[in-house]
Amino acid sequence: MNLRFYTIAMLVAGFLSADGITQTLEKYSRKSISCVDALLVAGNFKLSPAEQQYFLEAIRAGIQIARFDYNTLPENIQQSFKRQLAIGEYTSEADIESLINNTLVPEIIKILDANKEIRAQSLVSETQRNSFIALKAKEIGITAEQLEQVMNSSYIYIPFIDAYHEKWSKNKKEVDVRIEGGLLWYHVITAENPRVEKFAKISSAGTGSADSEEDYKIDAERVNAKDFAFRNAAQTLATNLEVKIRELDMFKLMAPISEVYRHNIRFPLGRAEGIKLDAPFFVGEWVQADNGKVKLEKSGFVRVSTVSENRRAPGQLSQAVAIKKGNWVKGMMVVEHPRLGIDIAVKPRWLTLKIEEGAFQSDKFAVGFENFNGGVAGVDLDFQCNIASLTKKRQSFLVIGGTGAIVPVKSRVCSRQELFNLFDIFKISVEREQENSFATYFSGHLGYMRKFYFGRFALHGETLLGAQGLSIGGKYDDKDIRIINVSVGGRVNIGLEYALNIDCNVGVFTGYNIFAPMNIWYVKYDEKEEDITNFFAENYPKISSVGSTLGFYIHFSPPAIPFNPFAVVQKNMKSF
Amino acid sequence: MQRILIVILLIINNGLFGQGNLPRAREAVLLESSSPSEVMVRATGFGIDRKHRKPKAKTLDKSANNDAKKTAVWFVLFGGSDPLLQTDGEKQKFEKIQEDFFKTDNIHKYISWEADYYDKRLRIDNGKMLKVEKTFKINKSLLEAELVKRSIIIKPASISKLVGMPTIMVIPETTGDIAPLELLKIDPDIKKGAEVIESYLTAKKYTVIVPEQQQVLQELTATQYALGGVEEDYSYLLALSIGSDVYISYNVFVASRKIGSSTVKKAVVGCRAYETTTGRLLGTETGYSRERLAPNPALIEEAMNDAVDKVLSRISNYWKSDIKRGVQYKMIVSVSDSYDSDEAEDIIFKISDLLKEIASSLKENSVADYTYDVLIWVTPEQYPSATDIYRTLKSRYNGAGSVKKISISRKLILLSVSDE
Repeated sequence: MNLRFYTIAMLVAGFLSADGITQTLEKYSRKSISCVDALLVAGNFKLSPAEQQYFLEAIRAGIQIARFDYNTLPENIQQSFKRQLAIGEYTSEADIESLINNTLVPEIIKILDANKEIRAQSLVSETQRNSFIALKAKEIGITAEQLEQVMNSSYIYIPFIDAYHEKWSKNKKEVDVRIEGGLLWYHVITAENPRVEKFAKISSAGTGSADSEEDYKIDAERVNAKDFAFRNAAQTLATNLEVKIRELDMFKLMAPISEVYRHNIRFPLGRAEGIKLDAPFFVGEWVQADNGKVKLEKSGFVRVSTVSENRRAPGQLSQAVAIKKGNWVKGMMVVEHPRLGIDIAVKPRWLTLKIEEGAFQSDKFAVGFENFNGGVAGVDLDFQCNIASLTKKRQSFLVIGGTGAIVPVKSRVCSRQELFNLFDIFKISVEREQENSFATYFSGHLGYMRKFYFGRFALHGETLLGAQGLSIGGKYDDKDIRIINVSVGGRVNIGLEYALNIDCNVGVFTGYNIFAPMNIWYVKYDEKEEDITNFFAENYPKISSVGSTLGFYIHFSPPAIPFNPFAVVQKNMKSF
Repeated sequence: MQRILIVILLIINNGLFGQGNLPRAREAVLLESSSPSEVMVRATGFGIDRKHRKPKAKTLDKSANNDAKKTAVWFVLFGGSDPLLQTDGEKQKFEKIQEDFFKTDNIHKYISWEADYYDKRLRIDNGKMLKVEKTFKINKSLLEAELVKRSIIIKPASISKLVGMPTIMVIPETTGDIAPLELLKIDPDIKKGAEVIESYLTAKKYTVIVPEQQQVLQELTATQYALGGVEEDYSYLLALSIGSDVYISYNVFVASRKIGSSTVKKAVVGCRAYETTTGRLLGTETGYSRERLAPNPALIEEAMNDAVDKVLSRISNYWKSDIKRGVQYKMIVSVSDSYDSDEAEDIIFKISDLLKEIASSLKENSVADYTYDVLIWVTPEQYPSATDIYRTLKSRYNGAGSVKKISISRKLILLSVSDE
């Protein structure tokens, strides 16, 4: 219930924020960040030191983004801060601020001072580079203002966890971990009275699940189910927080457009700022309203098609392709639209399914399926993770998803004797039986998808491999029974989409399913697995899905999700 | 009714923007004098699109960009404290050609550099208008040459080929404890200041006199002697001795402060131009560098560029108006005290009458019992040098005693009248 509620809430929040407006006229200028290995735990729960350490590392790795310079605080200073924090005297936010002022700020100022001249070089404007001081005097031309800007563009964050839930299933097999936490952000003021001022508190949530009977490996380390769930939750939370940081006005990337050529624009941001292939940007211009307020009026959006290597050669331009093209000219602004890089696609579709009549038996009961051959309505739910940074191909996605459908096929579970006597499992009514008019169809798939945009339209093609299952269940002799047939196969889809807005595409698709019948059965009775054999000369029921499929398509790019199946993959993609 | 409204709107629109090729925005600021021939200007441009009911971004942008260019050139012509067009006559002459001059194709010629990005870009007036701010470098020399070519302004040198550009002496200000020439030797910042001004002057084709100790000291003593009653001003005396038309005195101050462990400095220079013969202040300007991490010479040059360009503009204006009267000389005639006061007065009257014949214009500074201090303007064709004036005066003088020279420099004629 909780998970569903948060998912919906986050999706809605993301949708509403899709048209958020920023109010800064300037191009993004680099900020420097300090962090300390300390975690504020605010709540009636305890985390082990190892869990705390993992959480801190996940946060640090999660928000290590290229648009920031990092001020590494000396270990002894960090230790001193942690020791004082651990004493427990610092409970309120004001206390923490005071502790930061006393222990960390002097050290941050030293680091800023040592690096300011190098960092200020990136602030030298085009006009300065063409002024007397640069051209004739051959000086870099850094001004006092720019040094002060560097000194005053420093921030520090302190991670916190304010809720932790660990929930085991009744049989103690499955565990769900949910972490709620975030970051307290402080601005370092380097005036006469150096201090920090809190300017933002961002928070999110992450969940993870695991099965205690499984073996798990994460970050090249074997871990138990609870640790696996914890780590997944921490990674998810860190990924969500990264997006939230990028959404803060002072950290949001923006730049003027340098060139507009047909459907392409070029702009002065690149690897130095950490932009990635396919990253979405709004395009717009600053408009002054009658009341004097200035706001960004968006007129379309683009996706990055070439990322410039501006770390070595400053001034290089990245390129983006217009998805929704406006009346654009040089000088308008591109403004980042921070997203996870994961699209959630919902695809109601029609698929064909064939079930050939058959039966099998265990030593307690017999199972029979009727014939079925026709189409059923199902729904795909896919997570599409953009892996363009890895593949170096625009609009390439790793897809993980599943399908669910109800199949109107009759099936019956009854005693072997009765079935033996009567020989017609489907026509004769018997005393002890479980008859189902429907079966549940489900499948899970993993695949690769590519999209090709033509303005707001996009053609997509995907290849999926996976497993499908047909399941019936109920009671037999007052005990739970579950019968699942499994087969493996694949599917190819092609589709046509239309970008409704920067976050949402709708479209249609068609494809072909190839899931041949397989005699793989999973039968569970009274919580125990049952062995099955042929029922005399009867064939096993043959369940297959071979044929075309077609459906509708809608995807949405959320700013945060509580459960991120790609959290670990995304963490490892950061370096690309 | 609707038609009337449209007509009214069109009239209003035409009234506001119907300026043909002239710039609409006319808001600009001088960022720096990058070199003697270039100035860097940040100009505003307004973009409008009359053709479409819903303005097209491309049209607005092009229009705003062109308007900013025009405004930048307009600023050099008319704006700021020292525009190229200064007199009403010059402005009236320019008005006749302004439509043609502000054609976009023509304006491009004077823009030697423009920024790739706007400093500011904002849609205003409910999105109907685009306001941009952009930085340009304007080739002021080329612009000036074009105005001279079109006979809008007159180049000082062209007024009198015989006189040419004024001769200017550059000297640092001192407090009196130390001689300026000594200061030039011992203070590298002061020396740098002189170099920058001299570089500017030579680039603008002025004749620059660099005072040298040995040459001037003896002249200085004589001048000092002759101007016994004048307040002791080393620069003034030196300029008179050397004979510059104008002298520029300057001071340099470099302020510094710490930002963390870095020392940032800001140079402030004061630059004053004087008419040599009278010591009249022609113009004064203060120049500032940005506060930077840079060595003193670079900062001093940046600050001096800021100041000297404006001062030179004022010297040029002075010269243009003064040269029309002829070449100016300061003459001091000292009458021997062997004459009684009545005789001395007669001598001074005779000298005065003679000078009125020689000079095209005359201005008396002081007439004492035995001293006559006067400024004269003579036509350079008739009197190419100070000696010619002296010779004429001497030959035509028929009063008591005879006219003798004490000292003659390029601008100062020191004479005496005595029996000997």
